Amino acid sequence: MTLRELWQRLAYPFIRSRLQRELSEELRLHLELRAEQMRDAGAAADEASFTARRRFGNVARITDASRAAWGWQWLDGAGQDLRFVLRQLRRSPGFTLVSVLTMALGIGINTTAFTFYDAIVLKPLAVPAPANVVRVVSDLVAVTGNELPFAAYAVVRRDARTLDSVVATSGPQSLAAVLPGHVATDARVMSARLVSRDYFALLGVHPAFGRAFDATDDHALVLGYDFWSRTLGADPSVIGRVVSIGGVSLTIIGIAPRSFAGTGAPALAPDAWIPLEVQPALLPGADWRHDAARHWEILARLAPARTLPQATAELAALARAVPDTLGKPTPLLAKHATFFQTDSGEFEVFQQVSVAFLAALVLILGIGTVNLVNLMAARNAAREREVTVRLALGASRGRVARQLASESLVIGFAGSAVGLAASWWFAAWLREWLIRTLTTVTGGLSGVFFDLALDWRVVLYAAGLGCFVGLCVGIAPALRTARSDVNSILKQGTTSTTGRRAWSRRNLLLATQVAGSIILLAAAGWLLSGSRSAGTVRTGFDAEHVIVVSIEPSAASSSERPQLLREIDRRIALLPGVGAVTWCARVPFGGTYLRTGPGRDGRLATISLNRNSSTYFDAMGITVVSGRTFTQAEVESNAPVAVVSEALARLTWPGQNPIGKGISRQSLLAGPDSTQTYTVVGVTKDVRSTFLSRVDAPAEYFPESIDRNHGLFLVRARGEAAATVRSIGVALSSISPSLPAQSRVVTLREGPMALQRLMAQAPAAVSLTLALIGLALAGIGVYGLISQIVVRRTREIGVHLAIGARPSQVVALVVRKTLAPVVWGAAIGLLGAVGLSAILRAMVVAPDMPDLTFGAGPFNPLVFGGVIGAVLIVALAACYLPARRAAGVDPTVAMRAE
Amino acid sequence: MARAARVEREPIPPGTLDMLILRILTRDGDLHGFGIADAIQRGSNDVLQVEEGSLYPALQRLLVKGYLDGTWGHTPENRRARYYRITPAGRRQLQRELDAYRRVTTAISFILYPASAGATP
Repeated sequence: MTLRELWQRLAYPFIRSRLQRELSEELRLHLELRAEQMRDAGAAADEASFTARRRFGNVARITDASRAAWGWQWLDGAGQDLRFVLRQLRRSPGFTLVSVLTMALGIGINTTAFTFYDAIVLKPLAVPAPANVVRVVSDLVAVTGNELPFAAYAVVRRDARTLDSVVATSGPQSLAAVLPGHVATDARVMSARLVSRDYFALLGVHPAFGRAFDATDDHALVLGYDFWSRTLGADPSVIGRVVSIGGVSLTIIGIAPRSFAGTGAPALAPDAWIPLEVQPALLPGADWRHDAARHWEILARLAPARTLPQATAELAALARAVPDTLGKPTPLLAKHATFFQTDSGEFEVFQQVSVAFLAALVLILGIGTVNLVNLMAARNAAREREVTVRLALGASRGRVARQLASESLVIGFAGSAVGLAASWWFAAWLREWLIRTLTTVTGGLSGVFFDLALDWRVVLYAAGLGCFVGLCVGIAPALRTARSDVNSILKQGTTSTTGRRAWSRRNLLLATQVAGSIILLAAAGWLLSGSRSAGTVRTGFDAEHVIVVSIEPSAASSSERPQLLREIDRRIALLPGVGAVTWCARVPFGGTYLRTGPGRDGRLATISLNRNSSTYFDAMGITVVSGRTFTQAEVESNAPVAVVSEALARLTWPGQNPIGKGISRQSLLAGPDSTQTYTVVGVTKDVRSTFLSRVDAPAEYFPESIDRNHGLFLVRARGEAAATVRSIGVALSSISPSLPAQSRVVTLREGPMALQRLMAQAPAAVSLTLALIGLALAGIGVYGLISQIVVRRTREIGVHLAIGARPSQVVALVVRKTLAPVVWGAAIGLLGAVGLSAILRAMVVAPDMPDLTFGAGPFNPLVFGGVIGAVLIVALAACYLPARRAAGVDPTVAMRAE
Repeated sequence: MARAARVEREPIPPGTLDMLILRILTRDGDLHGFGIADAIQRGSNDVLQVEEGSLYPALQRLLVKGYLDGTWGHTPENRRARYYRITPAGRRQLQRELDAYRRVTTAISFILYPASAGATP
C-alpha cells in the first residue's frame, strides 16, 4: 500500500458524507444520460429509464460495493450494530438498568482497588521524566532506615559520570515549629526534610506559589501543599513570613505543588523542605555533613543514554572512595526511584494482602458476570424468533452473531463508564477516611499521601474489564445463534432451547454464584468475629493504665541525649499519679522485634526480643511467675542476665526449671553482647504485646541502661490515664519549653492499640461490604433465573392450574427447580471456604503477621450456620416474587398465548 | 424487450475491467463514468458488455489506489459530472497489467493453438 493510498483510506471517515454525496450524484447522472441516449434512439420515456436501470444493475448493492473500496465497511457495520443495540436496549430499560448496574458494581469495586494499587505501586514520582530518576541505596531490599553518609553524596555528585542532577535529602525530621501568626509558646510538630538546595531545581519541580531554593538561600523553607492548606488556610500571602523552629527563623519562600509529596522512602509527605545547610542550627550537635552517621538519601537522574546497570557498575567503583561507617564499608547501588518503593522489603506483607484482596474482588466480578450471562441468556431466548426470522430473511449468521455480541459489549462498556465514575468518587472518599483515621491515631504526624488522580492506566483497566466481561458474556450466545437451525425453530413456532442442556448450564452458573458468595461471606464472617474480639481480647498485662512517651531523636544532640532521658525518667517518676516508669527498646504494639533461627530441636523458631529497665514488668503489669526481674545495677551495667516468658521456657527447657540456665552465645536466644553467656534469672507470663490478635512469640528480655535507649518510655498511671498524660506534658515542658513538641505522649489504648483494632476492623468492614455485594448479586441471579422459568413455563403452569393444581403446588414446583443448584452451590462454597480458611491459617503461621481471625478455627459453626442461613434467606426471598407471579397465572390466558 | 443491436454480447472477463478503464482513459483523455462505459462498449464493437454499475466500485478502487484522479466539471450539456484522469502511477499500473495480460494470453494460445504458436487466430 502506498503512502498516498494509506492517507486516502485514513481520511475516509472524515470525508465519508461528501464521498457518499458525490457517488450518488455520479450514479444518478449515469442513469439519466443512458435514458436520454435511449430516448434519442427513439425509445419511450418510461421504457428508456427502465432499460437504463436494468443495464445499470442494483443501485444499492453498487453503492455498497463502491464504499467497500475504501476498506471501511466494518466501521459502517459496527456503527449500524451500535445503533441497533442502543435501540434494543432503550426498548427494555429494566434489563439495561439491572445489567449495567451489575457490571458497574463489579467493575467499580475492582477499579477502586486498582486505583490504590496504581497510586502505590505503578505511579512514578511526581517529577518530569520520572523514568530516569534513580535512588542510590546501600541495600536494594532494606531501603528506608538505611540512609547514606554525606560523603557518599559528595562522591556521587562529584564523580559519577552515569548520573546527573544528584540531590540529597534527609529522612523526615520532627521539628517543633512556631507558624506565622502564632505566639512563641504555641509550637506544633512538623515533619520536615533537609534537602540540598538544588533539590527542587534538579528534580524539575516548580512550586505552586513562590519559588524554590536558589544557591544562596539558607534560612528558608518550602511548605508542603497539604500542610499549607491544613494549617495556614491555603493563604498565599504567608510567603515571605517567618517560621520559627527552636529559635531559628526560616522564611517561607514557596509552596510545593499539590501533586508533589517529595521523593518518598519512607512514603510520607513532609510538611516542609529546608536547606540542609541549616541543620547544625536546627538540630544542634553533630554536623551531618561531616560526621559518618547515615542521615542522607540520594536521588539522581541517569545521564543521557546511560542505563541502570551502568550506573550500578560505576557506583560499585565509587563506593570505595566513601569512608567506612561504623567500621563497615558502604556499598552503593542504584534502583529505579518511586514514592512508595514497593520493590523494597517492607512491602512483602502488602503484596500478600493485595493478592488475597484481588481474589475477593475477582470473585465479585465473576458473580456479576454470571448474572449478566443469565440475564442475556433469558433475553436472547425471548428473542430467538426475531433472530431466526432475520436469519431466514437472509441476514448473514456472522452479522447476527456480531449484533448479539455487541449488545453485551455495549453493556460491558457502559458498566465500565459508570463503574469508573463511581470508583473515582469512592476512592476519594476512602482516601479521606484513611487519612483522617490515621491522622487521629498517629496524632497528626502520619503524612500519608495517595495521588489518586485518574490516569490512563486506571481508565484502561476499567475499560479493559468491561471489554473482557462483555466478550466473555457475548461470545456464547453469539456462537449458539450462529449454529441454530432456522427451519426447526420457525416450524415449531415455540422457542426450542428449553432442552436439558441449556438449563443445566444455567443451573451450573447459578451454583457458581452461590458458591462464590458463600466464600466471600465466610471470609467476612471470620474477619468480623476477629474485629469483635479486638475490642474485648485480654492482653495479659495492664494495658488500660499504660502510657507511651516517645522522645524525638531531634530533641537533643547525641551527646546530651542520655542526660536528657535521665532527667525525663526522674521527673516523670516524681509525678503523683505515676505508679512506675520504664524505658525499653520496643513498646507494646509498636512494631515487631523478632529473631528467627534454628531452635533447640533444630526446627525453625521465632522469638521476640526486648531490652528494658528493671521496672518494665512493673510498669506493664506483667506477672513474674518465678525468679526475679533485673536489679538496678544489672540495668546500669548491661549485665548478662535475661528474663524469659513461659513460652520460651517451654520451648527451650521443657519440663525443667529455667532459672539459672545459661544461654549460649551462638544460640537463637543469644543476648545483645555476643561475647557473653547470659543467665536466666526470671520467668514471666505470656502476653499479647506484638499483635492484639495473637499471643507473642516466645519472649526474651535483657537489661539495658538508659544511655543506649532511643527515647521510648512506658508510664503506668495509678488512676485515670488521661490525667497522667496531661501532667506528663507539663513535666516535659518544665524540662524544656520545646520538649512537648518533640515528644509524643499517648495512652496505649488510644495510640498503638487503636491502630491494632483498626487493623482488625478495616479488613472486616471491607470484606463485609464485598460479601454483601456478592450476596445481593447472587440474589439478583436467583431472581432472574426463576423469573425466566416462570415466563418460559407459563403454558405448563397454566396446564397445571387448569387441571386443578393448587397455587401452592405451583410455587413449590418453581422453587424446587431453583433450590437444587442453590444447594449444590452452597456445598461447593463451603468446601471453598474451608480451603480459604486453610490459606488464612497458613498466613497466621508467619510470626510477623497479625492473625486477622483472632484465633477463630477453620470450622466456626456460628459463621458457617450464619452464612448458609443468609444465602438461603436471600434465595427464598428472590424466589418469592416470580413464584407469586407463577401462582397467579390465568390458565386461559396462558393457553391462548400460544 | 428490444436490444439496441443484434450482436452477441459477452461479459467482461474477470479482472480485466481495471485494465480497460485505465487503457480507455489513456487513449481518450478525461471521461466521466458514463463516457467510460460507452467507450468500452463502442470500442469493442458492442461485443463487451459492462454491467454498467460495476464500473463505479472499480473507479472508487482506482481512485483510492491513486491510479486515477477525479475532478468535478461540466458536460457539454452543462451537467455536473466527475471527470477521471489517469495519473502517472496509473500509467505504470496499466503497463504492468498489459504485460501480465500479454504473457497470459500468449501462454493460453500456446496451449489452444500449438501449431501456430504465438499467433492469434
